[in-house]
Amino acid sequence: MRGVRAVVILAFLSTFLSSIVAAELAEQITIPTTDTFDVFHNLESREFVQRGEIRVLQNETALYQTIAAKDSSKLVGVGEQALSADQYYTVVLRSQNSGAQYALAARRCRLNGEKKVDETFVLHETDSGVFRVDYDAGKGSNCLKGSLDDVPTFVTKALIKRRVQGPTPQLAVAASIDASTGKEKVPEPEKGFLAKYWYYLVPLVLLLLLGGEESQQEGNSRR
Amino acid sequence: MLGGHSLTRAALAAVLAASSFSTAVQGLFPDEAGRIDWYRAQIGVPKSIVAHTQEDRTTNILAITDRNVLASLKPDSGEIAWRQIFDPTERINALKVRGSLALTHSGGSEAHVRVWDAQSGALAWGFSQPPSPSYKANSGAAEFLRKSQDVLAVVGDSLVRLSPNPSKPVWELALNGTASYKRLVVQESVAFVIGDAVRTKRQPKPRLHVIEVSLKTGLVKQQYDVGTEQALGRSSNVVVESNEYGGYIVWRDDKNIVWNVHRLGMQEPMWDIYHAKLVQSELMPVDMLTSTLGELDADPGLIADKPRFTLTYTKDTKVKTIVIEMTHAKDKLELRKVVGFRSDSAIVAGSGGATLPSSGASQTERAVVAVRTSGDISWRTYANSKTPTHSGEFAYDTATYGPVTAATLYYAGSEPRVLIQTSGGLVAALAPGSNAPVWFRDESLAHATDMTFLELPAPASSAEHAAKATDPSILASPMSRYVLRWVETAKSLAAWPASGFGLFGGASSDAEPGSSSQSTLEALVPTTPLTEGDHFGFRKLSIFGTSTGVVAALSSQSGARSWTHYLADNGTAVAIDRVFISRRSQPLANTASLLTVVGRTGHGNAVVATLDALTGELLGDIHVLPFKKVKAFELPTTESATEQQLLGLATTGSEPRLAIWPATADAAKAFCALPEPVFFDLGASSGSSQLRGYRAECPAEAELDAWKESSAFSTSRSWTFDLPKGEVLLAASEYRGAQTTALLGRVLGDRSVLYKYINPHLVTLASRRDAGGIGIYFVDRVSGRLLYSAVHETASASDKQPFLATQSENRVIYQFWQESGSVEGAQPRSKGYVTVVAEMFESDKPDTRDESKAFSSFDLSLPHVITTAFMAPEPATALGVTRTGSQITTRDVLFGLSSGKLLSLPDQMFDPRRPKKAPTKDEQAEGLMPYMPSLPLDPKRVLSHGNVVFGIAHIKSAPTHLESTSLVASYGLDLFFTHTSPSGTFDQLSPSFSKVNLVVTTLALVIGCLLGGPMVRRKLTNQAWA
Repeated sequence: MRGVRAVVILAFLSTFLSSIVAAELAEQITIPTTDTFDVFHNLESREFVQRGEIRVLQNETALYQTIAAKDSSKLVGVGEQALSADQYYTVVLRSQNSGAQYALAARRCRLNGEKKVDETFVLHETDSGVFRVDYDAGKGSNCLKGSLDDVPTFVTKALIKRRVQGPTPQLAVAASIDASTGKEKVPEPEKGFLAKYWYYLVPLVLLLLLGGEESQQEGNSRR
Repeated sequence: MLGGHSLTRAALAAVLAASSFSTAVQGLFPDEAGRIDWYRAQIGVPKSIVAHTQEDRTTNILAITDRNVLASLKPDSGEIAWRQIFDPTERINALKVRGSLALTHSGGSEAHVRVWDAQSGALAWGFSQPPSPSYKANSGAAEFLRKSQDVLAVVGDSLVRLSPNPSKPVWELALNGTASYKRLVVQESVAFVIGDAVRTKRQPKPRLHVIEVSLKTGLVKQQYDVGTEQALGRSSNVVVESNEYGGYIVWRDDKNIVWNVHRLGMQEPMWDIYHAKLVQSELMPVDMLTSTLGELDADPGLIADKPRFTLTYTKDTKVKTIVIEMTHAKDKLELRKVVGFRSDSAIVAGSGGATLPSSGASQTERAVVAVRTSGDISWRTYANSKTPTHSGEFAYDTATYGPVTAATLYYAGSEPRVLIQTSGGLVAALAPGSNAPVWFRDESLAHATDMTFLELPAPASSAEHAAKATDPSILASPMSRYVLRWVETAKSLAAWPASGFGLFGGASSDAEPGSSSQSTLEALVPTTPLTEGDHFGFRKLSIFGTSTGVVAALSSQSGARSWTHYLADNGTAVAIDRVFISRRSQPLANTASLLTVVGRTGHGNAVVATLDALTGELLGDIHVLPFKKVKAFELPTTESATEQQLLGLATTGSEPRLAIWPATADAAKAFCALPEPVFFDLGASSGSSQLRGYRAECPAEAELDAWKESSAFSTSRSWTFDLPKGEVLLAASEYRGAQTTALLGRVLGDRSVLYKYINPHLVTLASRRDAGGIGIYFVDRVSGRLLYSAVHETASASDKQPFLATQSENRVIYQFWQESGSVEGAQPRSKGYVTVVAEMFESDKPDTRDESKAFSSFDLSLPHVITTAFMAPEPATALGVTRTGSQITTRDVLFGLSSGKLLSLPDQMFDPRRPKKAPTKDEQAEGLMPYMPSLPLDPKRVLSHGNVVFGIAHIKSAPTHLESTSLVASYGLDLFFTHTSPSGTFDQLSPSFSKVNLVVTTLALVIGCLLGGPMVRRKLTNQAWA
């Protein structure tokens, strides 16, 4: 009985979680895209085949979507530099908006000995769109392993890095912080006369009250 | 009894220990302003000197320099009487002196005319002309009017007559862009404006254009062209003038042997002059075709009577120069040879308009000075005959400051003085009969382009010196060196009573040569190079490379020159770009420290020279490499044979290559044996839109064996960083020198750690945006990855308001000018200079760091960047940070301010995590200062205290052997050196510490122990028997 109950609970939880993920994805899909990049991998010598696309969303996130081999297109006319580097594994991103191509490379040995390789695209954007893409795949420690026999499966992640507004001095904040204590300054209420000058008045009063009698007593005793 | 022995030993050890401190704490007091620092005010290499003796027989030496300074020098000592430093964007074009007034013309399209009091340097009055669209490049001139304080000037595209305190010109004449006017000749009622005429389709040849203007009305009387194929400044023409004779243009047409003389304002007649008449000997046509003319006087308008100029020609392979004087015989013009010299290696100059002291104020000296420039300097002055009136000679080595390039004659009282200038930047005054300069100024350091510190070997004891001379093998053993040290200590202990127990004369004077700032007291050539440092690393050699070809080594402690060396290629100074210490001498080993200098020839070819860093001796030849526009940097390997550190010399261009120095097979093999390929970047120059990364490729072994100077490694481009469209590079900054980090992270108030992101390959780029503002990019130079980008939309940068940046550890600090304005989605911007701090961490979460054990640029790890901004108190001209040995001491951030201050602000002030609201308990526990929007200009933090250090362009810092203290050097125009202790002098004795008290207390304790010991023993014995 307990086993059945656990299975039911698990099934319920998984359904619930998948529905949340699906809802999240659906929400993301409805967010308008600012640009879409076709991702071409260098699967064969001098040939780039599309394996996915990156959708840059307006909320400063990106979605990567794999494209099945049968639907993929091939890329020709990639610069010699991207193809000639034997030591690098090269990927090309092509903007669907502008047609701009980014030839991105990672050291080939970083893919050695791995069947599944993490790859990351970092798309840097300004108000006018993506201006630079950085790429990373594999691990540096793989360079100590054997050679790359076959192109591995990639687990792709796409990040958006937006150019930030540089900081500026916060002049308004300054007035509200006390430099000596570091605490926010609270405007002090205006003090009354006694509250302001009590430390002058108290000794004066004490002097008048106590000082006069002593001298009189001294005078009397002398007499 | 055993106890008594041990007490005695302890007492002796205490005394010895105390005595060992007796010389160890000199000059370390924190408040020794003026004693721990030194300052040198400079003016730069003069481009024009006017020495003018007034009617009251006082002489003014006024100079305008390549560093855009107008200065007055004292004729007796060469000290700066006053100086005015012009804005770098406002180039001084001309200097004229009349009576007690000096006149300058500066600027270009936006021109400025200023009249100064020559005695005090105070501005009498000035006039500025706004930029003119029809301004012709290099146009501009100014002259005083005769017998008047009015000034005539070409400003922008106008000729103006100005009277003192002008709100507007007396009259203004539009020149309509007809020529680039560079010369004014003023006469009684008219003036002539002379310029290079604008070439047109109808008149495509260069020619001079002359406008005659009425001084009273400003109306054009006539204008005409003269001198076909001529342009002002060429050696085939000269403009001469005098008060009595008027103005003339003398020129020789191309491929013509006849000299034409044109009197300004007269269309006819035009005289022809033949060489034979002048030189009084027959010349071959080829000799006449190569003859040249030159102006003799720095300020011809001072000349009262006959105009003069020089003619230089070659006869029988000998170069001769004659001084020609114009005379009028009735209506006929005559040119007369005054005197002639062999001028293969001599320069000739006139006296200006000095009043002849012996004959009263009514006459002027017409002396000419000829200075021999090869070998020892000898000079002679001539009046109106071939017999020299005065002469002098002194021994001078051109390898120190280069050959003499200019001379000026002036009078100090009744004695003539010759002011010489060398191509290296030496200015010296010579007197008749003296075998040494009366005074000199080393102005080469005002043109310093790079500087490095050389650690000097610690002073060896006399016992070590003796052992080194007799049997150096003794020094190989640490034990024997230790014994020698004790022997030395014992000797100094024996001498201690004789020195009055250190009570008198304890502050030993710095025995370095020429420590006085008075140039009159220094020796021109330092006799004893500084070869030994001190125990605490305060005394180092600061070695400068300059654009004038001089490499100079100065004591970092006193500023005394240790050596200078002038580098030239085919007679032209090598413009030095970088200086590297390529080998450091090992203690007690016989290997010299080496200095490698990288520069450029006049043709732009890379030049490499190696010098002995301690003595300045040039080792081998100056090597001119077949590469242009190289970027020099240190490589992480050495040549095995010489232990010299390799330098990379990356050539720019479409196919960059990487040359190395030393260019030997051993060095090439060492380069290829590096475990990782060498990456470098190119294109980080202003105006570029792309930064490119390259890696060097090693060739086959056979090619390495045949490595030579012209060899270079091929490169392959590994990445390209394109700036966004509409942006061009403004400035680039990178780490300079090895970086030391004591702490890998920041310990927060809750005892968690925020790990620093330290990337030694970080390059900071600043770009100028067409849309306005400045873009900031942090780029990894190995992988080309963009690590961070930001935009300051209302920021701007120009020559007047430059963008500055400095990097240290995980922090980038930059400064720029910001206009006020609003930015969408961000705080409104305030107008002023803004200092931004960006600090990089491995993660935004504490206790989280990169998994990899070693940093690799190829691993994608983007830093978490925290930024903040402050209003800067004043515009800065340079930024820097302090460095200490282990960097346990916090770093101070150093600002060279335009007001001439060197400001040091504490590291904590630049923490971008300073809370902007009431600090939390953790923030208080961490000791974070609350945020204040402006950086303070605290007078107590001004390292330069009362010294006004103008033109600070570079700030460098070097560690000392004391962790608390770092040396700070600032240079640019003036030099200022000091040392500072950002975290306090925690490893030094305080100034109030009394060594005498220590010794007395120790002795008292010892005596107390000696007296009390028997008493205690006796008491114990009594107790035992009780």
